[in-house]
Amino acid sequence: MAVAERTAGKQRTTTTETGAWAWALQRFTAAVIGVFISIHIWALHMARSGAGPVTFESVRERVSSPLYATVDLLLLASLLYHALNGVRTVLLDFGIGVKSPRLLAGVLSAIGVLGFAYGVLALISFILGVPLFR
Amino acid sequence: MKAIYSSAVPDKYKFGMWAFVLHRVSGLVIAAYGVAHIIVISTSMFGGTFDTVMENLHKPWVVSLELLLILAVLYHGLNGIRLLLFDIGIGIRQQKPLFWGLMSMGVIIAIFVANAMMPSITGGSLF
Repeated sequence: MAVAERTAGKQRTTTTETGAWAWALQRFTAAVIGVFISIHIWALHMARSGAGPVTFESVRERVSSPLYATVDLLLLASLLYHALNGVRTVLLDFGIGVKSPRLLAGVLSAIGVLGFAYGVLALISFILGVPLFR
Repeated sequence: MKAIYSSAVPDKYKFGMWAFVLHRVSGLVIAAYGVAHIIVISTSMFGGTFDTVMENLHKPWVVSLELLLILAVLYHGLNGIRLLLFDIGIGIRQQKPLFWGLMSMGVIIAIFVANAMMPSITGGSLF
């Protein structure tokens, strides 16, 4: 049901409808990110405190553990979904894309897929231990 | 202006509305950082650039901004826990104590993270 119809004649009390699955996935990715980003920040800022700049070698060593590579990969995917769906919700609340929600979702999904691919290439470089393009 | 404010932020929603606005602002800040983060870290796929980039970013003012980012992440994450709890029906009537309890946790975590980052900002530790 369109928001305008649902709230016609009374004060608008809810935000624009953004989809039940998107809502559920936003909660699920939130929980995943909460756990993984704690590990990520711990490893990079607490455990290496005072160790100087991060280097290619130090990251290579860290992601040579399959467990850690998996954490980074899932963190990348979850964060991209969560962030882009969040941007979608904010845009819809400002009335941007309300008339063409599928186009908005499509454009943001494309950005997400490209961002994921770009991040995976970076991760592969660390796992291989050499930059992919040289 | 006052009329616009009071229509957008009714009295009984004031507290939750601020939490909501801050959640969105911090979310957008973190999303923008995420884009920058992917671009910076992905220099690893081009030979020899990664270490130079990371060294150039290892400056006190950059690490200070990262500390501000940690505050945004802590706010967004801890307030997010509150939202997840509301969604499963927990704590709706204890919104304020829940909020301030989580924020106190955030302050404690922030102090530890700040302490860990201090060697890169001032050269020494907080404690």
